[in-house]
Amino acid sequence: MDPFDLPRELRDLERRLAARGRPEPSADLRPRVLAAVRRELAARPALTQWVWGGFWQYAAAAAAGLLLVLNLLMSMGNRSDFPVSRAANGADVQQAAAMICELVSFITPEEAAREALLLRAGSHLEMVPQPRPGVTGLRALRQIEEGPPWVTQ
Amino acid sequence: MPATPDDLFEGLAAGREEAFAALYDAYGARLFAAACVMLGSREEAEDAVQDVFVGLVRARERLRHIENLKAYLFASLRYAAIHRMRRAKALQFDTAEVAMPAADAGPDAEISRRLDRALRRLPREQREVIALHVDAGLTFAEVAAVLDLSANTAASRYRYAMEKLREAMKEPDRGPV
Repeated sequence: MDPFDLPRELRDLERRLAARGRPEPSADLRPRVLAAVRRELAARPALTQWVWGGFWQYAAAAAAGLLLVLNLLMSMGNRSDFPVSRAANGADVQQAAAMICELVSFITPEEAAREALLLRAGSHLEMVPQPRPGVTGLRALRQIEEGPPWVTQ
Repeated sequence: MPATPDDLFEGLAAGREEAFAALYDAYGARLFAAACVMLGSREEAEDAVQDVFVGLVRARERLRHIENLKAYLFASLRYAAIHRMRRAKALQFDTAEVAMPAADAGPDAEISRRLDRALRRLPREQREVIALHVDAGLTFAEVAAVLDLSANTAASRYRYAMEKLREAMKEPDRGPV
């Protein structure tokens, strides 16, 4: 059966359907639609128009943003405190190394300096229980009061 | 109407109002007629046609990639109609019966009114295919493009819808739906 071929009865019905009075749009639909089009065009200028029309504005805004980011980065760089290098040769480390040398006569100055650095590093660390995953870890956390194995991290 | 379809696309993409006016002059009445069958209400049909043109403005940058503007227009109309039907269902308001042209009177007018009422009783998919083929004058290939079907399926759906319409016409008229 060819779906494009309708039987005679359906052809008659189709003819009547096509001949029936169809509602026409009201006269004010055209101006109404075009007014809506105009409003939408005003609200949404074409993308290409926006890109080219506002190219210099876009370039100026991008340059200003870039300058601001550079300025912030420089500011952060200047104000940043990098204590690592200072700590290695700091007066407190040297003083501690000297004290170690006085207390432990057989220690070499290099070893004393190393111990002093370790002591200084250790002074900033807090004792925490070794975290372990799963039930074992939970049990370890519950055993804090009972004296679990302490490690420094 | 602009000289060539390319001119029309160019005008639409550039946002020239006269291109939209030309498009309305070419398809506005057919869009409205199809929308009336789909929605069963003059007011909703007019709003749906307006939705189509507002949607065209929003999508105008992409219109150059469209191969069949007519199919695109009626597919937009279909989406607008479905959206309005869902909204009407959600808000639970009934759409009013489409008013027939004032010049219609006599037995032919009565048959037309019965046909319109029978059409409104059909399921949405069947109403759509009749609206697109009979009221909008689209070929089955164009109907298929609008509904995203094969031409054979569109024709089969149309035939089935016509059979349903014939059955509905045989039933005693129950007045306005």
